Amino acid sequence: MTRLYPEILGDVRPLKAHSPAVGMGGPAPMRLGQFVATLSAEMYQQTFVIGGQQPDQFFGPVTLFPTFPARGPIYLQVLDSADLQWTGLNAWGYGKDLEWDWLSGSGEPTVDAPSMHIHQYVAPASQHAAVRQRTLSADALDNVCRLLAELWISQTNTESSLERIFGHPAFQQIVDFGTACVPFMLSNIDAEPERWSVGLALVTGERPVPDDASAVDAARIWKQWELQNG
Amino acid sequence: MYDWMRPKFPALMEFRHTSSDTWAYNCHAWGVDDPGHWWQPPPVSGVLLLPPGVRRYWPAGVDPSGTVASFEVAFATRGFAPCPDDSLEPLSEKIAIYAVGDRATHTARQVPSGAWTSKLGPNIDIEHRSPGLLEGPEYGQVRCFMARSRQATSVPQNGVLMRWDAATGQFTVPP
Repeated sequence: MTRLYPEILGDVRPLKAHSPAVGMGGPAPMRLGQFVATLSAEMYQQTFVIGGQQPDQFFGPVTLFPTFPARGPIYLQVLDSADLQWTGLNAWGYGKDLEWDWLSGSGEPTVDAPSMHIHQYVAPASQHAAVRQRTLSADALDNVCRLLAELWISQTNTESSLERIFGHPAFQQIVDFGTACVPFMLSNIDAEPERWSVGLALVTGERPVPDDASAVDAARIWKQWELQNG
Repeated sequence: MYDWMRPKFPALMEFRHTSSDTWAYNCHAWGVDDPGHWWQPPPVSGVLLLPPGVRRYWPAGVDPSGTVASFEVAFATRGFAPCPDDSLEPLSEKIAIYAVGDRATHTARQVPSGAWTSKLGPNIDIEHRSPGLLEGPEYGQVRCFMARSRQATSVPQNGVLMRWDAATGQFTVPP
């Protein structure tokens, strides 16, 4: 069994130090931060667990995705528990070879899928609630959007279907945040004008960009829109 | 720079990077040498918001399901007909249609040298030695080949040769 501890993930960007959280079985130490791992082809056949440093640690709420990648990055977003009510991290997992651990609560696998797919999608509701209640800080929301965007782009950068690119659950989750994510989109529009022009049109309901505009023009128009409407 | 390619195309050990990334066209459009469009069936329901600079195209009257069969019909409107294999025939221009399940995911086109050119979604164009090198988790398997009389279609420039270097775990320019 290979454990993907934060130390060996090599990309740990804590938001805060430890913070109490209410979770399964009562208060437990909760490690806050963002943990990014990459599944290499060589790891497909290995059994591994994503977890904390101690068996009684758990991540939560965790951002997972219905189309969890069979390859590429895994994004685990651990938010500030003070801002969020623990809603219970239900069983989740992927792959027949994945050992189930304390993330499931029961320690028992509930899914025995032959392929790598997420079977439960828990966190968004709590994130959305936090956004609606204005309890998710701007920085935290920006972090969530950034991770979602990285996942979205990495999983769709060779995709030939626009429906699949813009129907991707990570992009849809950003859009579901509504106008709260406009600053994030605008801050990234120069780098990815095609992607974020669509995102801005969806969340604002505005269509300031003419059909024949270039991507560069679209970015400029959206920034002008921000000046007029921001 | 090419780190994202390895997990998507595990069989691809070498390729030529032949264009910069663009949303102007996708692989299916590139397959039939139509770099002014993004070949995409219309949405079954709802409205598809197009990114700026993208001109969607789908032949009128063709099944919009996005299956391999629907793409075969779409490509037939540009003179392609099914053919048995990917062998190089000087008078023929061939394309390969890839699929995951029945969903067409990618189209590659054979160039006169016998190599194949692929546009990777909104990303770059690459040239690869055979269609099978792009088979894998991203595009699935080559499902069929089609051919038409060779035309004066776009042939990618030489580009930059990139080769997988197991020692560094990166695609690098070979010495």
